[in-house]
Order: sequence, then structure tokens, then C-alpha cells
Amino acid sequence: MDAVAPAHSLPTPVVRIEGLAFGYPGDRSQNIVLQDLDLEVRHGEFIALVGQSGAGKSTLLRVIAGLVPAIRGHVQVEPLQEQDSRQVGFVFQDSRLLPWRKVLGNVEYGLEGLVKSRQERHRRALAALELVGLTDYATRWPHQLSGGQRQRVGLARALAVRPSLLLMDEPFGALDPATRHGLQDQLLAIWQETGTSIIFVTHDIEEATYLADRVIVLGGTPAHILRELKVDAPRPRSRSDLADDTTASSLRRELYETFFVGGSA
Amino acid sequence: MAAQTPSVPSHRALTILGLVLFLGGWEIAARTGLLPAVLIPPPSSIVSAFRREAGSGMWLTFVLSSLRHYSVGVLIGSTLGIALGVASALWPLLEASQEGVARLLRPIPPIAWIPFAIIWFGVTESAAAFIIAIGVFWLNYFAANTAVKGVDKGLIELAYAFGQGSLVKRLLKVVLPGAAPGIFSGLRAGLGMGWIAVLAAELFGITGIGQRMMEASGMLATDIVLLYMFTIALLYAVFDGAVVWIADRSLRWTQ
Repeated sequence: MDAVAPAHSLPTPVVRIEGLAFGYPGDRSQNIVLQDLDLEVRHGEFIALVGQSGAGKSTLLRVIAGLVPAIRGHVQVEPLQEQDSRQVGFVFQDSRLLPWRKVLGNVEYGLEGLVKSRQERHRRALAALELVGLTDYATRWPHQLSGGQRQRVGLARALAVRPSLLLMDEPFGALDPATRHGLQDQLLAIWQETGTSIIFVTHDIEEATYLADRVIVLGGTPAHILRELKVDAPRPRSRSDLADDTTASSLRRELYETFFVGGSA
Repeated sequence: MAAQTPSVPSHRALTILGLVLFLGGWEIAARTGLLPAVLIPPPSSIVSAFRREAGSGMWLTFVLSSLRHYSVGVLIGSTLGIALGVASALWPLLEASQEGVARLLRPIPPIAWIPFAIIWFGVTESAAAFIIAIGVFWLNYFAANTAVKGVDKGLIELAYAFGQGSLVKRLLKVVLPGAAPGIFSGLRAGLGMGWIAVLAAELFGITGIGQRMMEASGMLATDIVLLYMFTIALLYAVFDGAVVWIADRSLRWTQ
């Protein structure tokens, strides 16, 4: 299945963020929310972005996606050497499927204007649905799906545009633990097959250490990178092993401390 | 043992039953003298009134005449109302600049516009259509405006996230489908408002159902008034039924 070609392992980063700052216009001066952000993501890397609620993780994701303009610095996302792809695919926490389109129509949404042939859009959407295991649901309406299924459709929609970078904003946060664990594994399988770089926002440290190559902790006012930690545990990882694994545990301890010691690094 | 659901008559059956009981009860009350005919004639008098009005071809004339300015008024009022309602919801600048004017004009009932209608259009069909259009316009304007504003902002962000953020793409793929239920509601309400305005529109001498009703009123020919009340109800049901049919097909996803 030629759903998405695997990424090349190039030495240059696929995402480079330098000196990024973001703020809202305030009464007198701007309210700086994010400051001095430097980040590099390599091809095929899985990054978890953690931090307390309101720390600015979702905002950072939106600045990277270009949904919101930075006030300083820049974001560079290298497009895949692929025809008809978008730089970024976004997965929201609340799936955000268009209720007036069936599942397949929703997955095709990002391809419109990108891929000229309707048959090709169809084909790519079906391939993306196959990646998330929902081919049989192509003709269902969104309201007929469970929460977990809707999230998977949202993921398929993002994958269909063959992005260099997948941005995921707490995509499994609203789901029950069993569904969440299932989707995490499914995401890892898809990630390994497609080789897309991923920035995954979560406030769940267990989830971060289970999924990511690198965990980046965001915090402070204004928000900046407090800590960056590599997760060395070899893949495939098991949750129980991670619970016991001393490196993973000390990692989690570090992260917890960073969280609870407070906003200033 | 499986629970037994008591068999409930269908929605449609109950609707028809209710109507039959209403008309039947009314007829019986009139026949038995419980309800004096001088207060209100029985429903059966509508039939004889119809025979008299239709025989001379008058009924059809009045119906066609009213339908003429009703249709034009509803068409213009709905189209402009929806277009401006959507536009002002999308462009805060536009909305802000005409908000004061809208607040001023909106509460003025169609009937109050009669003098201007006559001055601008003369005692013509256009004047009647104008008065009807005014009533229909405001209803559609606010319904469309509210409907567009009510579209999930998250879906707008979604549009930008997937390269569908241009005005046309947003409008056609997200805003209008999302606002459709509210816009159809406004459309249907406008259909009813149109008939209310027909009476006002025909007050100053335009031929039609409203004018005939006022005439019959003056003669205390209550059976004729009843006949045309029912006629309006029937015509409204036809138009409304058509809109509901279209709405149901466009809004399959809400079911």
C-alpha cells in the first residue's frame, strides 16, 4: 500500500524554530505568552510537548501551524519531497469533523484544492482511512461514530495531506484510558510506517514517555522551554516495562519535579 | 420477558385526529345551537361560501392576485435578508456600520410603510410586494445573521488549518452548511410573515384575498372571512411544505 512514502533520514531538521515569540495586544504593551523559543525537529522524530494547562503548548502548536502569527522569530517547515502535500497536518482535541459530510468527505477535506483529480482525492482518503483502520466507516456520518473513532478520522484527515509535520493537540485527552491506550499504539504503528515527524501536545507524562523520542517541557510566564529530555527506552515499548524501567522513572521524576517546582526554571 | 411497549398511534394519525375533533366539535356545537351562528359560523359554511365565491370566478382571481405580490415579496425579502444577514455576520465592519440603522428600521411593522409604498410605487402590485418584502426581509436577516454567528468557531479554525481558509471556501464548505438549519428556519418564518403582510399590503386597494376579507368583514359576512382564512392556511401549507421538503433533503446530516 503506497499510502504515504517513508521519510528520508536527512541530517537537516524538518522543522526549525528560532527565537519565536507570541503575544496578544494588551492595554499598554503586548502580553507576551511565548518567548525565546528555539526548537529543532528531525525527520521522523516524535516529540512530546508537555506542560501545565495554560502553559502555552496549544498556542505554540498553532503558531507552528501558521494559524496564529508570531510576533518575533520564525518557523521553518520543510515540505516533503512529495507532490501534492501540505507542510502541516493538524489533529484537534475535539476531532472537529464537519457534521454535514460523511467520513470519507471529511478525510478528503484537506485534499481539496491540493489534489486536482477527484479520483486521486478519493484514493488517498481511502488509503488514509485504511491506515487508521476505518475503511468500513467511509460512508457513515460523524454523529454515528464513537469519540475514539472520530479522533481516528481526524487523524486520517491529517495524514491524507502527507504532511512533513503532524501537529497533535492533546488528541486523546477526551477519551477513556482503554481507548486512549489503543489509539496510542495505533498512532505509533502509523508513525513507524509513514515516518512523519510529530509534535504531540499532552499534559499526561506517562503518555509522553510512552510515545516520544524527546520530551520538551514548556512553562513559565512568559512560556519558554524549561527542559528537554531524551527518552532512550528502546521500541517497541511496553507500559509496564516503562513503569519499572529506572531510566524512564527517573525521567518521569524529573518531569514531575519540573512541573511541580513551578513555573520558573 | 421482553418489555411490551404499548402501541402508540403515529404522529400523523394524532395530528389528523386532532383536526377532525376540532372541526367536528365546532360543527356540532354550531348545529346544536351551543355556538350561535351569529358569533361564528360552522365549518360547513365555508363550503357554501366557497361555492358562491368560486362560481363567479372571484375566489381564483383573488388567490392569483395575492399569490403574485406574495411570491415576489417573499422572494425578494428572503434573498436580500439572507444575503445581508450572512454578509453582516462575516464582516464586523459592515455589521457595526449598519447596526444602528437596523435597530431603527426593524421594529417598524410593514403596515406603517404603506404611505411610502404608495408614494414610491403608486397603488400597484409593486407597492404590495414591497410591503410584504419588508416584513420578510427582517425575519430572514436576523435568522441568517444569528445562524452564521452560531457556526462552530472551531470549524473555522479547521478550515484555515487545512488550506480551506479563503472566503469562498469557508463560505461554501463551512459557513453556509453550518448556518443552513437556522437559515431555513428563518425562511419558513418569513413565509408566515408574508401572509400577515398581505393583508396590510392590500389595505389601500390592491386586489387580493386580504382586500376581499376586509370587504366581507365590513358586511359581517363571516362565512366569507372564514373561507379566506382557510384559503390562506392552505396556501401557506403548500409553500411551507415545499420549503420543508427542500430543507429535509439539504439537511440529511441533522437526522
